[in-house]
Amino acid sequence: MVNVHVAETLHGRRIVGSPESLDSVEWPEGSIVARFAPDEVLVLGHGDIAVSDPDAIIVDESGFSGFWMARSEAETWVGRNADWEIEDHRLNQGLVASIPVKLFVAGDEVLVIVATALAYELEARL
Amino acid sequence: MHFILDGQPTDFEQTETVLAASLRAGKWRSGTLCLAGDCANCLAVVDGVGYIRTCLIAARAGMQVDIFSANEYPPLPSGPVGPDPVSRHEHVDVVVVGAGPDGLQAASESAGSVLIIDDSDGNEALAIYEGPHLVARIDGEIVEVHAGEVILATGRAEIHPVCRGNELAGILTKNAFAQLQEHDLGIVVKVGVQDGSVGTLVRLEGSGRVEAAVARDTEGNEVAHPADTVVVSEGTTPRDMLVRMASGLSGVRAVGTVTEPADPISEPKEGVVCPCSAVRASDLHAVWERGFGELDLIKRATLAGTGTCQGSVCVPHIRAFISARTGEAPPPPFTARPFARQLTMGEAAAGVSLPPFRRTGLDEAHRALGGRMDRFGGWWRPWNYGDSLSEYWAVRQAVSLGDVGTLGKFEVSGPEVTEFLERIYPCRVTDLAVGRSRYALVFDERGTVIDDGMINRISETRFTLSFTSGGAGFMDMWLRDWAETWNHRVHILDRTTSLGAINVTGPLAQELLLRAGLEAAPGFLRHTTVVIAGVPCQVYRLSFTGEASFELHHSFDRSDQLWQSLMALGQDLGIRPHGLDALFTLRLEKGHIIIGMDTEADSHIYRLGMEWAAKMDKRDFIGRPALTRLERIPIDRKLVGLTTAGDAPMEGAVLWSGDEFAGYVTSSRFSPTLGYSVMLGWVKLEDGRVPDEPVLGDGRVARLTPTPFLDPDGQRARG
Repeated sequence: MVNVHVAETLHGRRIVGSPESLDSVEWPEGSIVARFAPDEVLVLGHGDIAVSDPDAIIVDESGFSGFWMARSEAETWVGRNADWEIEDHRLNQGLVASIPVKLFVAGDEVLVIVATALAYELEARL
Repeated sequence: MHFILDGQPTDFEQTETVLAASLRAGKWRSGTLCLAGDCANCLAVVDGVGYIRTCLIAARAGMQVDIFSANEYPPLPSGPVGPDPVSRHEHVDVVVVGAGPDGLQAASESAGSVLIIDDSDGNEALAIYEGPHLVARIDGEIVEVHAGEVILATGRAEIHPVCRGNELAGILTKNAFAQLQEHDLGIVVKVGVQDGSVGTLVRLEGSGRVEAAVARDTEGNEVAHPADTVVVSEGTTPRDMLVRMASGLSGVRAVGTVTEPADPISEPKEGVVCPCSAVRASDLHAVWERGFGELDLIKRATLAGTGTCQGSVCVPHIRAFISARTGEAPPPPFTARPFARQLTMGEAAAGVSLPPFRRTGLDEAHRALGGRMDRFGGWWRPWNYGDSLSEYWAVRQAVSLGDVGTLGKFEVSGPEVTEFLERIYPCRVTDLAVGRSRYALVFDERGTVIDDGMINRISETRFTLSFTSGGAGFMDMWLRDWAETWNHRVHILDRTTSLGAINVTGPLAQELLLRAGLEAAPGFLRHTTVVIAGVPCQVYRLSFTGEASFELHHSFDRSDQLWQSLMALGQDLGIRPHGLDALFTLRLEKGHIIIGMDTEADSHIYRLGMEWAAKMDKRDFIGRPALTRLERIPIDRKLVGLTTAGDAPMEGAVLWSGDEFAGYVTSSRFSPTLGYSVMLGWVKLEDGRVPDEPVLGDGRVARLTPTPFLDPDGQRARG
C-alpha cells in the first residue's frame, strides 16, 4: 500500500534566544518542542511561553508544514533518500531527496517538518 | 523452464547461471571462461541491459539474453529498460566484501552490525570512497553503504592463458572446470593443472573452437592433444581492484589472499592479451618499440586495461611483459577508479535528486492568473502574466502587485546588534532611527560587493534585514559566521521562507492601501506595523521600481488572502500584477543594479560608481582594509549607464571602441516611457576615462548616460 502524505501548515512560535534561556523554559503541556539549534526552537501548540532572555526573538510561525508518518516508514524513506539515518534523539535534521527536513521523533511516529515553500516538492519526491 | 538466448529457447536448471545453461546448450564463448566474474568473456545483454556477466546471474524463465563479445559494444536500448533503479543507504559497523574463507573469518571477528557482499550472490561492490563509503549493487538496488570499516577479502583471480589460439572457444580455467564437471565437455585436456596435466601450454589449435592443445612435455617435446575442452591453470593474481581503489583511504583494509602477490608468469609472446580491447602480444611489442615503456603508457597506447574488466585479465601479462624487458620486478598495477563494474545510466542516477526550487505562498495565485513561471534565485517566480508591457504601465501609471516573498528576510536582535551591523555593513547603522530604513551593500573581505538589501530598525536593539532572493542562504551563513567570529551577543533568525511579501507599487499604491486599512502611509524609507485587509503586515516604504512602493511583509500562510483582497480592492484603479520581465525594465530605468547580473566577481564600489555606499570614515567594516588599498589603485573598468536608439541589444552584447573590445552590456531593456533603450554595461577605461561613445556590434552608438535614466530626482518614488 502506498501512503499518501499531504503536508499541512504547522502553526506555532519560533524562538531564538540564548541557549541557557531556552533550556530553562517551561514549555506548554502537550506542545511539540523542536529544538532546531541550541539557540533556536519551534514550538507547536498553545500556551504562554516565558523566555528569560530579554533580546530573544519570539515570532508567530506558519512557514513550516508537516505530516506524521510511522517511524518504520520514515526510516525506509530516509534510507532511500539520504545518507544519514534517523537517530533516537528527538529531532533529526538533514537533506532527504535534496530537501531540508526536520524529523521530530515521537515514539513510533515521526513528524516530518519542512518549509512550506518546499512542501510541494517533498510530497512529489516521497 | 527456459529463457531466450539469441532468439532461441534455452532450458535451464534450478539455480543454474545463465552462462552454465548456455554452455550446456552448446553456446560456447570465445576466449577463456573463468566463471568468477573476473573477465569479460561471458557478456550479454540481459533484458535490455548490456555488460551483464552471465556467469554471475541466475537464469530466470523468460529472460532475454543476447550475447556479445568482450571487444564489441552492445546495442543501445531503443527505449527505457525496466523500472527506474532504486537506491538506498545502509549504515553498518563493518562491511566485508567477499564471502570466501578470508571474508567469513573477518566477519566473524567483527563486532557490531556486519554486511557481507559477495558476487556469487549476484551482489557486487562497485566503488569505494572516503568515509569509508561503499557503493554496491545488492538485490538489484544501488546501495550506498556507510560503514565504520570496510574489509576487502576479495581473494584471488585465476590468470588467463595468453598464447596462440587463446581466443578460441572451449577454454576453461581450473575453477571454472570444477563448476562444470557435470556438463558434457567432450574430450577434456588439462594443461598446467596439478592433476592430469599433459604439460606446459604452448598453443591452442582449432577453428572457432579448440580442437587440440599443444603442450610441452617434461622432455621438452611439443605434443598436440586432441581436445573439445582445454582446462588451463596459469596461477592466480590478487583480485585487488577495490583494494587499489581504496588506496590511501582510512577505514579500509584488505585481508587474506588478496594481499599476497601475483604468481609469477612468463611474458606473453603470442595471442590475445586483453580480450576487452582486442590487444594482442604483438601490440605490446609494437608500442614498446615506439617507447611506451611503462604500464600506464602501454595502457594509453594500446587501450589494454581500459575495457569492461578494467585490466583483470591483461594486467598480469603486461606486468610480466615489462618485467621481462626491464629485468626488474613487475611494476605495480595501475590505479583503479570507480566503478569496478558497469552501471546503467539509471543506476548512476538512482537516488540523485535535483536541488528543489521553492514556491512562495502566491504560487497558485500566479498560475491561476496565467503567470508564466520561471526559476530565478532558487524560487519559482512569474516572468509575466501574458502581457509584460501592460504590467509595466500598471506600475508606471496605476498600481500593481509584485510577489517579493522570495527576498531574503532576517530579524536580528541583541545588546550588541548595532555594533554587529556596523561591522557587517559599509554604511552607518547607529544613526538609523527606529522606524527608518536604509539601503545597503554588503562586501566581502576583498571589498567585493556580494549582496544588497535594506536595513530596517524596529527598536533600539532589533532590526529586520533584507537581502537578494538568490543570496539569502549565503547571507544566513555570513551573518552567523561573523557573529561567532566577533563573539557578538546577537540573535539571528532567518525568516525568508516564513514570511510572504507583496510589493504594492505605482502612483495609486497609497490609495489602494488606504482602502485596505492603512491609516497613514509611512514616508519614504520608513516602515510601520499595520493590519492590511485583515492581515497583520510590516509595511516598508521603499522603491525598486521607481514608483511609490510599499512592501507588505506578512505571515507566509496569509499571502493568498492579502493578494486576493488587494486585487479585488484595486480593480477600479486598474490594478494588475507584474512579473520579473516588467520589473527588470522598471528597475533598469532607475539604474538599480542587480547583484550577480550587473556585478562581476571582483566588483567593488569604485568600479560600480557607488562610492557613496561605503562610509570610509567608519572605524571598521568588512572589506574596509581592502577598499582603503583599492581606493589608491586606478580602476581599469567601470559600470556605466548607456542608451541607444531602437530596440534593446542582447544582454551580454559586446561594446567596441574602434576595433578594440571596450566592454559589454550587463542589462538592457527598451524603455516604454523614454522611447529608447537603456543599459548598464562594463566599459574599459581609456587613459583613465570612459570612452564617450562605445559602439554596439550592429554599429549603433551606446551613448554614455548618467543614471537614473528616469526621474533622476526620485520624485515618483517619494510621491
